[in-house]
Amino acid sequence: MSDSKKPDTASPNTGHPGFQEYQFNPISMEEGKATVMLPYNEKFVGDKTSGSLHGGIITLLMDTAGGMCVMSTLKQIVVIATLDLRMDYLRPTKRGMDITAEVECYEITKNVAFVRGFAYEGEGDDKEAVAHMTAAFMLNTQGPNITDMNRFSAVSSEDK
Amino acid sequence: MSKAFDFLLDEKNATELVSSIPYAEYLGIRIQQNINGEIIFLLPFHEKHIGNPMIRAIHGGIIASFLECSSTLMVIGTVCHDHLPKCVNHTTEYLKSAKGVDTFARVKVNKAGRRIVAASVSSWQKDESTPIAISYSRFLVNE
Repeated sequence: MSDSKKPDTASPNTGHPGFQEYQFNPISMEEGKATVMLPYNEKFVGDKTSGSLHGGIITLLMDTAGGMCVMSTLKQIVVIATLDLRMDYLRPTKRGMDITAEVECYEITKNVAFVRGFAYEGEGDDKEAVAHMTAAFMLNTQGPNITDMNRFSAVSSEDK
Repeated sequence: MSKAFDFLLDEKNATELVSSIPYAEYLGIRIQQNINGEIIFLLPFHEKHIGNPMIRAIHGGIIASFLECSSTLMVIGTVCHDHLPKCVNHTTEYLKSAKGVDTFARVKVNKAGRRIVAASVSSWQKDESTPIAISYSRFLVNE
């Protein structure tokens, strides 16, 4: 991975390892709103008997969708960081059902963006909320400097 | 409640427990003991955990998943051996960006009630006194 690689806003599919690893599928993105789908995967199950997904993978999906919807409200690319994130698990998910996150950024200030959203399963009349999320993101957080970057990429190339 | 039952101290039990939850196994969580015999959860670093390739930080969702899995495993090990606790809610507070190294967590069961178990988790990377994230969770048990 080259350090000079610029983030590509047009297609968030590139450059973010999560999209390949977890098969997150961005369905729509408009200013202040993001919809991302997570296809069902046996690897992410939390309860083998019922086949329902683990809360952690839904948190991961909601955090990613939250970050995307904060990005969508900003005029330029800035580094953002999750400050806190609360998940309420409304009901267990069903075996084989894909999860769709619908997240909105309901307030944005100079430094902090506030985000909320639901995770749904099913479509149309069968659409049911399985989890609710509220989160706050810090804007313009300090990324590591170039020396730090070199150090980390050196570590990763050794690992490989 | 900070002392775990002997159940989790047995390595075979610990490994079986992790593999009973596919997502915990997928993350690669391991249960260890420190020199004081306390239960410590370990998330070995893996390239798939990276959330921001530009700064090579672990994804916040992975950290939250690790903390939630750790508290679930601890609740199974200490409170309910025979059934899975159901997570009602989980709040993660992020204190520091997580670097691409191993992450540790310590779980404290704050209250084991008849129906609700409340737990908090602290996680760190290099030094336990500078946590990277703290989380609070509630579980429904004995349903």
